[in-house]
Amino acid sequence: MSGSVSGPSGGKSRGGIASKSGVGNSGGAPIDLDMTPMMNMLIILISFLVTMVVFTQIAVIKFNLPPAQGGAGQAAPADSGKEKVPDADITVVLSENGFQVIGEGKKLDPIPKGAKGYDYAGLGQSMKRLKEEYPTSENVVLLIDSNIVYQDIITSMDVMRESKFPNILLSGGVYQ
Amino acid sequence: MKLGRTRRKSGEEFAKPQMTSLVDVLTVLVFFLLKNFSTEGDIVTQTKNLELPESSAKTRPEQMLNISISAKHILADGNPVALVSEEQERGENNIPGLATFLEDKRKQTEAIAEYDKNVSFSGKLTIQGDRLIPYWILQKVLATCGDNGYSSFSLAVSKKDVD
Repeated sequence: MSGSVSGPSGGKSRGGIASKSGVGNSGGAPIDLDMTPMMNMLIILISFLVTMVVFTQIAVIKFNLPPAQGGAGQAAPADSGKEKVPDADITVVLSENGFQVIGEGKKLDPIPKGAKGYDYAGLGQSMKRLKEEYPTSENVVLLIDSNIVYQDIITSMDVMRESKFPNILLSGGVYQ
Repeated sequence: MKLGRTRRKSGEEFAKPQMTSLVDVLTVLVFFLLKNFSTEGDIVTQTKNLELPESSAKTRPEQMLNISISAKHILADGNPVALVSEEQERGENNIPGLATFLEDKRKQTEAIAEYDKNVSFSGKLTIQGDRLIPYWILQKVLATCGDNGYSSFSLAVSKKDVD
């Protein structure tokens, strides 16, 4: 075993080429490659990789709280952000009934929750339309109801990021 | 060449296993494992009893203070600081156990920073939350961290396979 492992590359070229004529393979005789060293190598490689494998890869989503403010819970409602931020004021309300996108104070059509959960595709379309309308703005305020599950928040943030709104601000309490 | 011929000369039939399919399988397995292979190792240790939400985010995690929120407990760097059920009963936005821990940590870092210029208090945190926790507990944790000077968050998520 150890002998064949030491020279996997040499083993292949030298390997047991058994031709029927014994002179060469010019006569169209079948070539038999000796696979043993390659198999040895593959098996060792696999056992090495299996010990190293990481099945769940972790990534992070970064965001900042506004430094002056106390915390996420006291984040400003959508209206007061208008003067400070030159960006378009876009708010997405995430409640138990679905999404409600509010762009510059006017409510767009609500995106109700379907039978299979939230309609992320609908939210994505809505956000892309807003992006066309305000191409320079990158901020979205996310207003989340207190019982919304974390996975839904993360998926909504994904949708925002894919619609080219990378700056997501979290806020507490539902905005009516 | 020699080997084959000598075997043949002995006149015995020898069984030759069909290697091709086996090599196929092994090669596919090797490619699969190589794709998953990461040389970095784990920077963030995932807390037990906690399933991270899936996301398409690609940003790499960094080493920093780690807060975990599971269905029952809140851990700060592995130390239990609060119970979720107790926090639900209390209406306030502040979590006292977590606040004490964060304040100690910050004072510690600032004390080190006085002697070592390479160390500074950055206010960075990684938050690992179970995928099923409700928003109010996350909000409480964020509010507590914000009150104690930690304002730069990284939400840990598990990477989706979509490329």
